[in-house]
Formats: sequence, structure tokens, C-alpha cells
Amino acid sequence: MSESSPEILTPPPALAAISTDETIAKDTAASVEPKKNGKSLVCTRCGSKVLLAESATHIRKKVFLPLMTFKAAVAAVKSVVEESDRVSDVLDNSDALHVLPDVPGEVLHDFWLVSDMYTFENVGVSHTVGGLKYLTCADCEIGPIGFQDLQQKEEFLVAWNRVEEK
Amino acid sequence: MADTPITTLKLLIIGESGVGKSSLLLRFTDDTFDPEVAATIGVDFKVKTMTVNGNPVKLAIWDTAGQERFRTLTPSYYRGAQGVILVYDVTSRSSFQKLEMWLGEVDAYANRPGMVKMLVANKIDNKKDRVITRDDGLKFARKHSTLFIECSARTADNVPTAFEELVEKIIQTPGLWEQNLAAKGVNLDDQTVAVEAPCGGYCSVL
Repeated sequence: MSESSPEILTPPPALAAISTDETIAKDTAASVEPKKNGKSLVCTRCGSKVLLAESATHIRKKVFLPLMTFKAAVAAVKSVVEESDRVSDVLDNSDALHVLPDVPGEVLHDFWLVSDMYTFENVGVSHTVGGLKYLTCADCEIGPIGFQDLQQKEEFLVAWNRVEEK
Repeated sequence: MADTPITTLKLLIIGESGVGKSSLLLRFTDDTFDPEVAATIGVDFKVKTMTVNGNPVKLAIWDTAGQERFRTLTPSYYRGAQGVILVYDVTSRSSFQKLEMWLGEVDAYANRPGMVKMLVANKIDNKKDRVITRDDGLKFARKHSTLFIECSARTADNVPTAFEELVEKIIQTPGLWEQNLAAKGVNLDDQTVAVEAPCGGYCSVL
């Protein structure tokens, strides 16, 4: 592994692209068989229902996400949050996924893709942090369970290993 | 299979900083109230699915995310909202006095005729420090034709009720919401039958 970011999962070679490449989402989506979630996706902590069965599509994409427990993550970047709220619309995509370099996190590769926020049964959507909005459990607020890149407003990505299929 | 929601509604939670708006949003279905929810740490809005009179309804509930501290709530925040929850803290007189200002903003920017307003007196578990009586709240609600409920986000008293009452009232207000055409088995009259918003009553659910 020669990646600079702390790897926890290993990306398959074909997909080991840089996540800030704007084309990666489309390329990745097109190169993988679309697979729907067979069961509901629920919060791993409180069981709150996030998505109904068959409502999201599996995609692969390489993204750094802060570790779970949303409150801790937000506290760690509080100053970033406050700054970026005002400037978020001028940040470009290349800033988006790297704005939290000092926050403990992991690089994830498997996500459930949802294109309309009303597809969610229950979800919390955070304040904007550097061009991203993080998704949380609507009920216990654990997260980030995923994110929305404001450059791609039609894409809500829920991390595959941060929700439970049930 | 779960039913298709009959509609999606936009609800707002407004009020002074520190009155417990974010706690209300969390408390809605959850039982892990966290007193540490520091001055709105960041949830912008939540999508929630609830059932009203047997019909699933999808809610987008917007919190002000602390922006009220800077008085920068934009007109777009209010646009399209069918319901607004005005929160004050019964232990803070100033939070009660500011309600007029918040209502003024709602009336200036909300663009849905017949939008339903609910006044929520929060923190009623704190009896020792209480300065705004139930009667004060009721009078205000009566004067401004809003629903009224007292609750405690800390003890969960009445929080789910508040949302249910508000959503029921919206559903009962013709012309305020659009039926989801994909929904089956519901045949509410979608015409603009009603004229003047029939709302008007304050009501106490305590």
C-alpha cells in the first residue's frame, strides 16, 4: 500500500482512482453491475430505518469519511464547519473530500446510491462542511453514515459498512 | 411492503438560540436525549417518515442550524413550508418575548396560504426556573391563532404529539399540500374547496 491516506479497506486495482476526479462517480457506476439493496438498511446503533429494500443502488467509489459518532467528528472540525458554512459555495470539488485531513477516518469504497432525499425513510443531513453534507441516523444522530457532495446534488451516498441490512 | 407516502411536507423549527430546537428534532422519535447537543452542532434538516391517521407521510424538518444567532434566515428557508414550529423556553422570558419577531418573519416570508403554526413551550420539566406560565403561552397562541403544546425534550413529554398534531392539522387543511399521485388507496379531496384557511383555532393537547 502506497496510499498516503490511512487505508482500512483495500481498493481493487481498477478502481484505485483519486476520489476527487469528477468523472469517477459516473465511470464507477457504469462499470459495475447495478445491485439494489435486498433488505432495508437500518442504523447499526438504534435500528432506525434509513432506506427501504430495493431503494438504493450499490456503487463503488473511493471516499474518505470521518469515523463514526458524528458529534465527535463535528467537534473535531468545529472551526472548519464555521468557516466553511460561509464559503462553501465557492469551494470547488477538489477541496471537498480533503477538507478534514486531521479528522480520524477511513477510506471507504462501497456505497448505496440514492438520487432523491425523499427516498430516505429517515435520515439527518448535516450542515455543509467544505462542500459536503454528511448523512446521519435521523434518530440517534450517529454518523457520518454517508454524504452528499454539493457538486453532485442528485447523489446521496450511504456507506455500505455503516448501515445494516435487515 | 410499506405504503407510498401520500405527501411530503416541509416543516420548520424556529425560535431563539438555546430554546431546544435541535433537541426537539432529535427527540421526535428517539429516546436518547443528549444534554450535550451543543448549540446546534450541525444537522441542517431531517427526513422523517411518520404515519398520520393510517397514512404514511414524509416530512422534511428543517432546523435553523444556529443561523438565527446571526439573524440571517433567508426567505428561501421559509419558502414552501406547510408548517412551522415556534419554540420558546419556559425558563427564558426573552425567548418568549422574541416570538412576535419570529412570527413577523414567518408572515413576511412564508408563501403558503394557510400554513399551520404551532407554538411549543419547551423545558417544562424545569419547574424551578419556570417564568412563563401555561396561561401566558395559551394567550399568545389564541391571539395568533396557532396550535399550542407544552413539552419537554428532556423527558420526551409530548414531543411526538407536537409533530403529530401539526401534521394532522396540515393534512386537514385543503390546498396546503399536494397529494402524491403515486400513492394509492387514499382519496382525499384535492380541490381547493376551502377558501379562507379554516385554521384559526388554538388548541391545547395537554
